[in-house]
Amino acid sequence: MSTVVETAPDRGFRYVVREQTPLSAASALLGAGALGVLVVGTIGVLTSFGWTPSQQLAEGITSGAQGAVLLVAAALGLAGVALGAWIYRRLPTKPSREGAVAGVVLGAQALVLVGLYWWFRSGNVDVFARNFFEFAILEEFATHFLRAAGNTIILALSGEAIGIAIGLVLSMFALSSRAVVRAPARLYINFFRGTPLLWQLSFFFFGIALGLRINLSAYQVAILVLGLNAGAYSAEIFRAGIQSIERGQFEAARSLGMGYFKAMRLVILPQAVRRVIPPFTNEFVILIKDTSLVAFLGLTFQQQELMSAGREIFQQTFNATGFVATAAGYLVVTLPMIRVVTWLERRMRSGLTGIGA
Amino acid sequence: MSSDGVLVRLEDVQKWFGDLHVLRDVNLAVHPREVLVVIGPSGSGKSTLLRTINLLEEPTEGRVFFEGLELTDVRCDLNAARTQIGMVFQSFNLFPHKTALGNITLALRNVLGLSKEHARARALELLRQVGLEGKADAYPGHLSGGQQQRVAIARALALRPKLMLFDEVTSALDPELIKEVLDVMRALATEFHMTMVVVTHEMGFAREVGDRVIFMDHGRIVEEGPPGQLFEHPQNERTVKFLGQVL
Ligand SMILES: Nc1ncnc2c1ncn2[C@@H]1O[C@H](COP(=O)(O)OP(=O)(O)OP(=O)(O)O)[C@@H](O)[C@H]1O
Ligand SMILES: [Mg+2]
Repeated sequence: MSTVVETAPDRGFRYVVREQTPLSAASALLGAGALGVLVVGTIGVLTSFGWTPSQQLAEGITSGAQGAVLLVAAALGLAGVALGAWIYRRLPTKPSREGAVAGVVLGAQALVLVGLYWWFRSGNVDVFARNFFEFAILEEFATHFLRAAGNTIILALSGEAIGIAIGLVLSMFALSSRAVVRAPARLYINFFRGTPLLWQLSFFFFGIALGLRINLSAYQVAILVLGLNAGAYSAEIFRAGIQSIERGQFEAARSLGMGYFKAMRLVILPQAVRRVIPPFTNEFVILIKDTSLVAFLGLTFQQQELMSAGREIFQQTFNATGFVATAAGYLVVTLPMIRVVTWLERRMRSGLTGIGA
Repeated sequence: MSSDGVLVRLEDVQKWFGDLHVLRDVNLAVHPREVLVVIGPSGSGKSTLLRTINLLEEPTEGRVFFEGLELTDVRCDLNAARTQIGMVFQSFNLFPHKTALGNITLALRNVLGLSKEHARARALELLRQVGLEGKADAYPGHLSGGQQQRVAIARALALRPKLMLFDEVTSALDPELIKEVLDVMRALATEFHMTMVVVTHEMGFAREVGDRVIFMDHGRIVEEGPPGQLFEHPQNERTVKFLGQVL
């Protein structure tokens, strides 16, 4: 077992607020105010000019009002940094010093953002906004885009489901004491981990499905190949998880009259599955993003996932705003998935003691 | 029961781990209702001997019989035989994802095929016998070492075995927790006349509860006899030396 990392005791927001001195509170407020003015002020200015069409947006970005917002934010941020740095050593308690630190850090963040924004708006904002922020063109593609997000989720989930099934079986084979059972599993795993997914997609679609005239759509081949590929990675994750369970668990199960598979199913796998959730989440998020490679196969309009949809919009409009929306779409899909798995992990840990449990 | 009235018989057992010869020419018979204590220095092969009895370790040579049935025969149904042989480990090996009750009912449900209610009733009865009726719903991680080991004993007993194997079951426990586990084992021997093979360093327990003691060294059974005789008048010089160190 590793050692517990000591963290500062979290004594609650109210306590921290009560412990502030007037100056430390002022520093924290200046820093927070700088960021607040920057964000709220910018949104306000841009909204008043209008987010669409892009000329309006560009006008808002380059407007004097936006410049004023930036200057105010910079002034507040600078004040927060200066005050916090100046009073830090004179503060008597840890929480009040935390207040000063917050002022410095928030103020510095505001300054960095103001600097970047200033540099951005001194360039050719008109052209940039026209290419990347022409949100009006998204309207027409809204339903298409939603369907694409759905397709991304379907591809990822069904790929993962196939991958889990294959991975479970393969990991058992890979753990066998018999070389004749182990060898084919290793061959499979090493092949699918050792060749690019893009090659696998192309080979199975252009080579096998089209070449041999097997009646499978690009979408179906994509699910299959994503599953085959995820199976190899899942197998390794499962194998590591199973191997991390102490031998005594298996021996205890066997001594109670359980056969190999019963011991695996009732004792080893339930523990292993809990342990592999974090690497599994990681693998799943990678799989979600890997669905973008499917765009390469040329999906029908109805089947398009987020990446193909972005490309579709670009090809139809010669405007890159679709790609901006695609990035947002991936985040909207991956972040909730991560939350769900985190929640699942916490639930499954009930009863197990250990660090963080 | 086999015709000769012997519960366990080891015949000319040899065990190698690679080049390491861990069990040498081991011949052993365990009789019903007998408490056999195994002592010896670390690495002498005591655990291996015990694990050979339920074939957690397969002997390299020789044969193992349980109730006249040859366990070393590849055609033998080992899983069925193992339900008759309970084993308790030094490191407890409770299933951490199951409660105390769940640890006990797991094999009752999935190996013996008892109904849920029946398994639960039997498990609760056993928890009561080891003094843990209040801990049925506790997970192993929330039990003390002594409590965990008593759950492990209850788990093994739940299958109603004819033989119990104990491998240094108190070695991982704090001194004040050792007694509660030894008390359970003592009751098992004196009240229930369970046949037991006990590997232990608790010489007091061996003397008090054991019917017979065997001393192992370098994979060989060097000496055996009733505890009074073996502890008071050891014949072999290695036994004398070992007892001089531990007593
Ligand atoms: N799975 C294994 N692989 C290789 N060597 C092993 C294995 N199990 C045990 N051994 C070796 O066999 C020898 C006997 O081990 P065993 O555990 O039976 O000794 P022991 O008498 O129980 O010792 P202790 O009192 O320390 O528990 C030791 O040298 C040990 O290192
Ligand atoms: Mg041992």
